[in-house]
Amino acid sequence: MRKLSKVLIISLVVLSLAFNSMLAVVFYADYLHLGQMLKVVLLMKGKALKPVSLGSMIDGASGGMVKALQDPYSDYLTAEDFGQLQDQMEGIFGGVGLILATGSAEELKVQGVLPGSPAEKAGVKKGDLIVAVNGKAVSDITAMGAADLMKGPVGSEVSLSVLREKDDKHEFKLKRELINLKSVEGKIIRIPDPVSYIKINSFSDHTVAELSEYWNELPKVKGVVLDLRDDPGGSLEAAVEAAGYFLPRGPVVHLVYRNGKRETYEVTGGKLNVPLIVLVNKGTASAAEILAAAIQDTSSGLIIGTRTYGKGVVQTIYDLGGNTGLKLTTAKYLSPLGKDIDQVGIKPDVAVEEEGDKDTVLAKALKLLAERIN
Amino acid sequence: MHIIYRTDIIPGVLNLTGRCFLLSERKKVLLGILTVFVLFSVLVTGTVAGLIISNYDHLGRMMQVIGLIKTDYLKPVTPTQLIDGAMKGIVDSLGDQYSVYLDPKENKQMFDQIEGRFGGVGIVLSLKDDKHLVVLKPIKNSPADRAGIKAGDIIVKIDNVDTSTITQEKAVNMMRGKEGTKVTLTVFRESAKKNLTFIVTREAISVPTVEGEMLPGSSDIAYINISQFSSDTDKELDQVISDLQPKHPKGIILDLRYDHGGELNAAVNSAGYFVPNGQPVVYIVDKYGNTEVHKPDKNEYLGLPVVVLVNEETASAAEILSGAIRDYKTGTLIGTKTFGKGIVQTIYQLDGGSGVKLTTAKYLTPNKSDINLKGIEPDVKVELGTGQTVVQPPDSVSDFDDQLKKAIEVLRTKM
Repeated sequence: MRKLSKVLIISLVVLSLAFNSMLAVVFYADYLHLGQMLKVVLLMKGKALKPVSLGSMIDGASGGMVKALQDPYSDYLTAEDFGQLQDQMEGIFGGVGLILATGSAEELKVQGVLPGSPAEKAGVKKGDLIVAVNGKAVSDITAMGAADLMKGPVGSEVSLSVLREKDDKHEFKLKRELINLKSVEGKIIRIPDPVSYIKINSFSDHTVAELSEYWNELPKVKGVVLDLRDDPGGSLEAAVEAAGYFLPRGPVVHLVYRNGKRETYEVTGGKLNVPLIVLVNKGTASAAEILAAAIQDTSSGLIIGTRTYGKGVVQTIYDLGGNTGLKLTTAKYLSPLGKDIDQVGIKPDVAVEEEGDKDTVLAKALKLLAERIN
Repeated sequence: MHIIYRTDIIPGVLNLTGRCFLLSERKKVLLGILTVFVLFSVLVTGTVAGLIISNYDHLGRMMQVIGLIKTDYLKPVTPTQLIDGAMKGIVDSLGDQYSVYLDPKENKQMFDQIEGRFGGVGIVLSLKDDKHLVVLKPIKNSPADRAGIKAGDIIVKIDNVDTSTITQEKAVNMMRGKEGTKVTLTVFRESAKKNLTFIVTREAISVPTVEGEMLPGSSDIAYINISQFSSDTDKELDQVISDLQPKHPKGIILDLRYDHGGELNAAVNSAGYFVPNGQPVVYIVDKYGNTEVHKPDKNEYLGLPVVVLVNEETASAAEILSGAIRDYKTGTLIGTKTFGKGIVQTIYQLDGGSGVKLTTAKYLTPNKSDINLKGIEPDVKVELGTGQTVVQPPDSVSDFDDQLKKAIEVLRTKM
């Protein structure tokens, strides 16, 4: 017994000595900047006027490390952010009713305002340039990040700073409402042969069900125009399932993880047997780019419009417990032929610029489709 | 820090004492030192263990974040990059906008700013218009001046970036940069009714922070404007005052409007001209209640009637000066309530060129009043007339705004 306690004490002392020498080395040699960090903690404790607990400093460090990745899509989620994100995933989320177009990573423009939505009631107008959301500058958090910030629990508030003309700045405080934006809209256009025009606004759990409704019309049409303009993406699974309608049997997308592990999503496909034209623009992003790239790679349709946004990375959300979470970019995706579109976008087969109010891109699409039908 | 101190001191003690002791005594000393060292080690380890246990939740989450970034994040990240980020996050956890971790580049920029020196083109922007970047004036003989940029030009593009999409602060940062590098400025000139493009090479710019003149139309009133307090501001003020003294002013207008503050010592020394000799200008109180008294280096009180112009953008070091003049009643404050920044930041240098700026103290005016978040109420409240802008220094009587006019009126009654 006495021997045991002696051994215990000696090992404790040896451990302490080892630990202290380690601390000393870290502090002196500034190993990996750990010495600096220790100094910062000591200064915060000893000098900062405002008292701060070690716990909040540690949480601050966690958040700071995620920010250090300089990845606009990765985020340390505090209790408030995390709850909001979970609501969004479960489909209980509100919005302000804006249809947004991303000009570039730093530009977010109002493409349309839904009738009766909070944005319309407050007076946000088509063409307004959004410069900040909740006080965060779009140039700092990227257009996609800003668009995400507008979503949140129904009844909660979001503030927008908007530039109307060059110097005409407006501030709006909007209360989020449940927005019923259909994921898919469609109509028949006669050119004079009947063709199906299908617009996918975003990819959600409802996309495939809504898409199948329009599919029932297909036997009657001679061609399909798939409009993916200003589609910011959404659910990866929905995009893959939707791809099943347009692609032949085979891969839709490959996910590549950090360790080089690959995951390939495939579809049985083979449902479409009329010519297909896909409309894209700078606002076509993420899941919408997956679909467009797959159509291009498999030559299932002609891509026309302008170069797409170029978001080729996928995020995973981790629950860290204590109501906090971590959203981390964990994979990039490659098109069926292995192309990486991140920060590059998809180059359309036929480049057509959007001009003013007239939909020149759709007009061009219908013209090309007519040529292909005959 | 104490750990290092201990390991350092042991060889020193042995060298000093080794020769004088007998072997057994030497052993005793050694044993004693060893015991202290071991006790100390155990104490430190125990404290650290205690801190770990009491912050188990937070530390656990941090370890998870580190682990996930290491294994799952798409791109490889160096530990140093993460720790630098962690330091930023630790300082941000104070929730104090004035406290920041500065990486080596930001740290250098901060010092250049305090010293009033940086690489730039030499454009002073007008504060009149917060929607446009209007050139108030090019600094004389600066790159912008030589290139032909004129007062009133509106900067519409910087290196082809549309200035209406970025903040004024960002625009200023874009114009600044390393000496010798080039920046392309596109300006709209009203008189030419068109955009003009200039390619300007940046140079070391040093901005004068004090300007003085005899007030246009009044041969007995000196006008002094301090735009900010850099480390040389007190010396600049010495020069301006010695230039003005031969003109025998009978009163002084000290314009501190839009002075956002800066270096504390420069403000304290500047106060020497305006408060009675030997009197404290400001008290700095740290978190433990320790109080430092700051007095000017020199006794140079002018004893002239003074009015001080202040507004809602008179902040920090400029409020220290205004507060001291108010408390000693050596001048009259005219204008609007000041900003109310009554806290002091200290910059600590870390290794490798980085630093941390922390709010470490609050300050009290000579009457021991804390102005933080409150500001200083002027003795005579005057708003600017509608559509009026402040021209500092005024070139002619037509530049006078309502606050300056009131200042002249009040000063005349005291002269």
